[in-house]
Parts: sequence; C-alpha cells; structure tokens
Amino acid sequence: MNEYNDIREILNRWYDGNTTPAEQQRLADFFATDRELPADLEMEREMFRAMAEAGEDYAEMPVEVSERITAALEAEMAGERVERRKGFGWRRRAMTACAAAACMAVILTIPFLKSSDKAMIGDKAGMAVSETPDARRASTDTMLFMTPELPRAVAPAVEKESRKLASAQKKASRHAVKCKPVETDSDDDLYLSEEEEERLVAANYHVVTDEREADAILSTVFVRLESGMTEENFRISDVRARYEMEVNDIYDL
Amino acid sequence: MMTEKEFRQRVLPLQRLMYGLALKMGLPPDDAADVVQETQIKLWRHRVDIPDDDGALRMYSLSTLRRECITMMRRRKPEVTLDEVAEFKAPEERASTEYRDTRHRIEVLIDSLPAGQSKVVRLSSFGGLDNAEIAEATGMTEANVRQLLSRGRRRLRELMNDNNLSS
Repeated sequence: MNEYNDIREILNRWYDGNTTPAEQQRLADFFATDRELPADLEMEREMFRAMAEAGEDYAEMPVEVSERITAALEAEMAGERVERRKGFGWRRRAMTACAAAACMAVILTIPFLKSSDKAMIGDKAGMAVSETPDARRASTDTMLFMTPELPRAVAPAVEKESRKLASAQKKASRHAVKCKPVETDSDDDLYLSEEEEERLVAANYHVVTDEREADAILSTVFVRLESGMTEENFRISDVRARYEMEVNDIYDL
Repeated sequence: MMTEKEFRQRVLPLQRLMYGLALKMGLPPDDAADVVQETQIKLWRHRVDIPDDDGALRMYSLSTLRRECITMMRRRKPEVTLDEVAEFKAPEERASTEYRDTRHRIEVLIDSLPAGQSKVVRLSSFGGLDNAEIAEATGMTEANVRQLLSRGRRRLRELMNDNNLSS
C-alpha cells in the first residue's frame, strides 16, 4: 500500500534526523490509529505512542510558581492602567528618552561651558562697568582676573586691554570694555585646542578694578556652573526614579 | 482588542500547558517558570494579535513560548552545561524531583541518552522545533543536530526493545 511506503520513507528520514515538524506530526497521527499495521510498522508504533503520550501529559505547576507569574502579569496590567490614566505609554517613554537625551546634552556641553563662561565674563564685565558708573572713583583695590596658566604671549594683550580701560575711564565711557564674539573654527570641533583657548582668553581679557564687578563676575560663573550641575543632577535622579518605578512595576517589588 | 477580562479568562489558564511544554523541552524548572512569565507578558503586550479561536490561540501561545524557550536556552548556554540540562540539576531541587517523579517511561529513557542526544530529542519530539531552531537554541550546527537526532532516535529504539524484552 502506498501510504505505508510513504510512512516508511518518512520514518527512514526520521531515523536520519532529517524530518520537518510537519512530517513528525504526520508520523504521530499515523501511529495514533488503532488499525492493524504491517509488522515492521507495528514495531514502531509503541515508541511514537509513548512519545505522543509523554508530550501531551503536562507536569503540574507548583502553586508558588503560578502565583509568581500571575503577580508579574497583574503588575504589568496595573502598570498599563496607570499609564493610561497618566496619558499614553509612549508619551511617558518619550519623556524618559528626552530626559536621557538632555542628560547627554549637559554632559557634552561641559567642555563648552568653560569656554563660553570665559566669553561671558567679558560681557558681564562690560555690564558691570556700565551698571556701576562710579567704577572710576571706586576703591584702589585692583583685581586681576586671569587664568593661572595664562602664557606670557598674552601679556601685551593684557596691557592693551588695561590701557583701553584706563582711557575709557578717562573718557568716562560707560562701555569700558568691548567684547568680540567668540569665534570657533567649526561646529563639529567640540574641543578647543590649547592655542584657540589662549586666543579666546586673550580676546576677552581685561583688568577688573572694581570689587563689585569682581563679585558680579565670580557669582555669575558660580551660578552658571551650579545651575548646570543641579540641572544635571535633577535629570539623573529623575531618570533613575523612573527606571526604578518601571522595575518595581514589572517585578512587583 | 482583547480586554483584560478576556485575557484572564483565555490566556492565563494556558500557564500550566506552557510550563509543561517548557519542562518537556528540557528547561530547568526555574527557567521554565521565567519563560512562561515572559511569554504571558509578551502575549499581554501584543494582545491585539491574539486570535479569537481557542485552537489558534493555543497554537499562537505555544509558538510564542517556543521562541522564548530558544532565547532562554541561548542565553543560558554558557552557564548551564549540557549535563545539567539533561539531568534537571536546577537550584529548585524540590520542583525538580517532583517533575522527575511524573516523567513517563519514555522520558526516563530519553534522559538516559548522552546529554547532547537527549537534549535534541526533547527539543524535537516535545518542543516540535525544526533542526534550524534546535541549532539556534543549542548553538550547534544543523549537521551536528541532525547527527545527534539520528543517533538519539536509533538508540531510543534499541532501548525500547530492550525494555520490552526485560519487562
């Protein structure tokens, strides 16, 4: 009979480890019947039946395992209910992603913060001078605001700036110092070379003669640094809290 | 879209079936439970795709479970040796012995095969995986899987005969 030969052929391939799941199913179905079979196939019947029986009969699941799985699923369902109330799940996820991106942005901006602060020092200084017209008459204290590593080559620029300041004071000008905008070579060059940094410092360099101006400059620097840091801290703790919430939701801690 | 209530009624009861299949495929009880949990959560998240027909739901759930089993076995490969998988030497010894006691005679015979052979025979006969999937789960080549399947099945045939003669 043709069917038997088909089965024999599949059976041979089965013993060679060369059958598809569908063919294995066909063998299982074939041997599940109770009809009489040729002797050679009859011999195979027992094994296939035993396999099928063993495959169908499932082990009992321990109660604690079932409870654990159900609890995890309940947490997942409850989490979604909360998300639905809050808005959409994707919105929450998007916010988390944005916070993470912002974090990265802050971290990436730190090298810039330094240089842009230097640029701002000039601005603020100008403002400070203009806001305090009595700077000329102010104390004799002179504060030199400079970076410690300032190279000698910058010295002429310092003199130039201080001369400028002096003449400006004589003219009673409100804008004693003019700052050039910071010029960077290209946008993708994230880090300034030492030379560029020096140039930047030199261009924005001036002698601070007023105590209040010095205070203003220093406080500006510190406020900017501090706000940068606290903002970053807030974002990190925010991301961390969200992450923890998610984990708690999932594992029902 | 399936509601929460429907999900509870139709998918949650499949847990036992899933757990049994994961064990039959040779996963230690701890991993089997993890796989069932992962599968159920995955089904919940993708409940849009769940078929209305109960038979189709069963097929869909079990094929999701099979994928999860393969993923778990791939992940476990460096940690658990073939012998451990074959012998069910899981940390949860109690569940392990419980399962051992309920094994069918043929399963006892399968587990008496060399570790690699019993592993592929389980994945093929109970898991219904094809050779490519078994290769993926075990990290073996398909040729290797075929060879182990062939040896394992032939040996099983002999064991069955011996067993019948002696009993």
